[in-house]
Amino acid sequence: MHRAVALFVFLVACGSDPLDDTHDDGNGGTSGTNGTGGSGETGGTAGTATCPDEPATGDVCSDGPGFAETTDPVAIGSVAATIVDENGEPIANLAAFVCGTKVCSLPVRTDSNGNVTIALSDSIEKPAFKYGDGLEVGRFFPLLSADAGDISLGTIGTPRLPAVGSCFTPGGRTESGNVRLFLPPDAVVELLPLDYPEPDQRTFRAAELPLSLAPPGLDAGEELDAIFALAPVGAVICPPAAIDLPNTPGYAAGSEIDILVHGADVEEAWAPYGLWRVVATGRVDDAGERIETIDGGLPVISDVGVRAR
Amino acid sequence: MNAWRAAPLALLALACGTNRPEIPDELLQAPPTGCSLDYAEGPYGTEVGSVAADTCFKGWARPNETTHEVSTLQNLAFGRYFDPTGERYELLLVNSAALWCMACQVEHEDLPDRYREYAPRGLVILSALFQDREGDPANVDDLALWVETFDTPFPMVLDPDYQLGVYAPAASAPLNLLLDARTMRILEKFTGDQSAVLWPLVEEELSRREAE
Repeated sequence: MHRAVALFVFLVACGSDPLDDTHDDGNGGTSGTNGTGGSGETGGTAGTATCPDEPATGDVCSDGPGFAETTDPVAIGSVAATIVDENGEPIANLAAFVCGTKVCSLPVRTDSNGNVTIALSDSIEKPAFKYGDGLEVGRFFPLLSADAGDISLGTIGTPRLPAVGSCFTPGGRTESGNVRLFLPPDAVVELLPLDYPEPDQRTFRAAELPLSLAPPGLDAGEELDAIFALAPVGAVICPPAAIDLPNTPGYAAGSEIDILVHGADVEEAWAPYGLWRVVATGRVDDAGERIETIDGGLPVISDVGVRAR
Repeated sequence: MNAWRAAPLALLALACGTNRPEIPDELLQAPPTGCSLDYAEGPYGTEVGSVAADTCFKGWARPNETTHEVSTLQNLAFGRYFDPTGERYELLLVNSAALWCMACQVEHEDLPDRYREYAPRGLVILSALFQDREGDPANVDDLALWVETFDTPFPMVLDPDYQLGVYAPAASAPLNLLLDARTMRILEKFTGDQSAVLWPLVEEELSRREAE
C-alpha cells in the first residue's frame, strides 16, 4: 500500500523475545472460548512494551495485489447493535462507525449497556459496521446488506485483546492469545505510526472471537469455523508470516484447512474490503491441537478465519 | 478598546462648537465579524452557491517547514485566503479529516502532490483535523502526527469543535468544500473521498479562469 513517508519498520534481532513469556509451549490444545490459552492475560489497559525497532522512510513492503472494485452505493437508514466481550459483558464507551471505502460516519459510542445506534442519511459504497479499537478489543468490519434500511445486528461480540503484546520476531516465534506467527529471518513489519503512535500499540496481540457472538455477515458467506482478531490491524509483513492457530473447530489430524484474512483496508490491497481471501493452507498437526501453515502465509495483520478445504 | 471603537470617540472629543467633524464612513461601519479584518460580505450560508462565513482555526501554514509545537501554532482563517483580485488565490479547498478516518488518510496520501500541481495556478488547500483515533477532539499532538506522516505542505489546522460540521450534509468524513477565493462562495461540496470528481472540477475551474 502506498502509505505515508514515515513508517516504522521492525528489524528485530533473531532470538528470544523477552516479552513473549506469557504463553506456555505446547499450549495449543487449550483454546478456550477466548483464545488466551490459559495464559492469564486479560484485556483492559494495554501494558507497556518496548521492542527493538528502527524507523524507515518510504515504503518497504510492496503493495498488495489489489482487489478494489467499484460497487453501487447502499442506502441504509440506521444500524443498531449491542456490543459485548467474549464473556458476554457489555463494552461501554466503545466507538462504532459505519465505514465504506470512501466515507465514514462520525463515531458513536456505546452506552453503559453496550448499545449503539448509528443513523445515516447518505448511501455508502460497501458499508461495513466497524467496531472495536484494535488495541484493547478486536476490530471487526462486517459488511452490511444492500439496501437493508434500518438494521439491527443484535448482540455481537469482540474479544478483549491481551494487555501486553509480543514483539514481532523475524526468524523466531511471535505469540499472543494462542496464535503464533513465524516470521522469516528477513521479514519486515511495516505499519503507520499514525494509527499506532505508542510503542506498545505496535506489538502483536490476538484473541479468538466466539462464533456465537460473530455479527451477522462477518464471514460474508465463507462458512468460517473459527475467527481470530489480530492486532495491530493493517501491519504488513513481508515476506508473509506462517501462522499457527489452535484447532478450535476440532478438525481431524492431518486435515487441510483454508486460512483466510479479512479485508480491513479501504485501499483493498490484500483483500476486498469487508470480505475474506485465502492467504494460506494449513494442516492439523498429528496431535490434533494446532493448525500449522504448510503453504502461503499472512501478508497483513487483520482478522483471520479458518474453514475445512 | 480597539481602534475601531477609539477613533470615532477621539474625533468626537475633538469637536468644538458647531463645527462637528465629519466621521469617515468606514469608521461608522460595524467592525467585521469572524476572525479576519478583510472578508467577503454576507449573508453567509452553508449550501452550494452561498458565501461561507469566515472561520478561525489554529494550525500551521507550512507544516513541512516548521516544528510542530503549541508555540508554533498560528491563527489561520478562511479570510487569509480571501483574494478578490485572484492575484494569489483562485480556489480554496477546505478539507476535514480525522485520525480514525481511513478514507481521509487515503485522501491525504494524494493531497500533497495535488497541492504542488495546482498551487502555482492559484489553488490553496486548508485541511482541518477534528478528531483523534477515538473520536475525541484532536489536539496538537494529533495534528503533529498527521502532518509528519503525510509531510503536509499546505495549511493544516485543528478543528476540535468541528466547526466545519455545519457544511456536512451528513455526519461523515471526509468533507471537502471548494470555495471561490475571490468571493468565498461555495462552488461545490463533497462528502467522502470523491477525488475522481473533485480534481477534474478543480482543473476545469482553473482553466476557465486562466482563459478569461
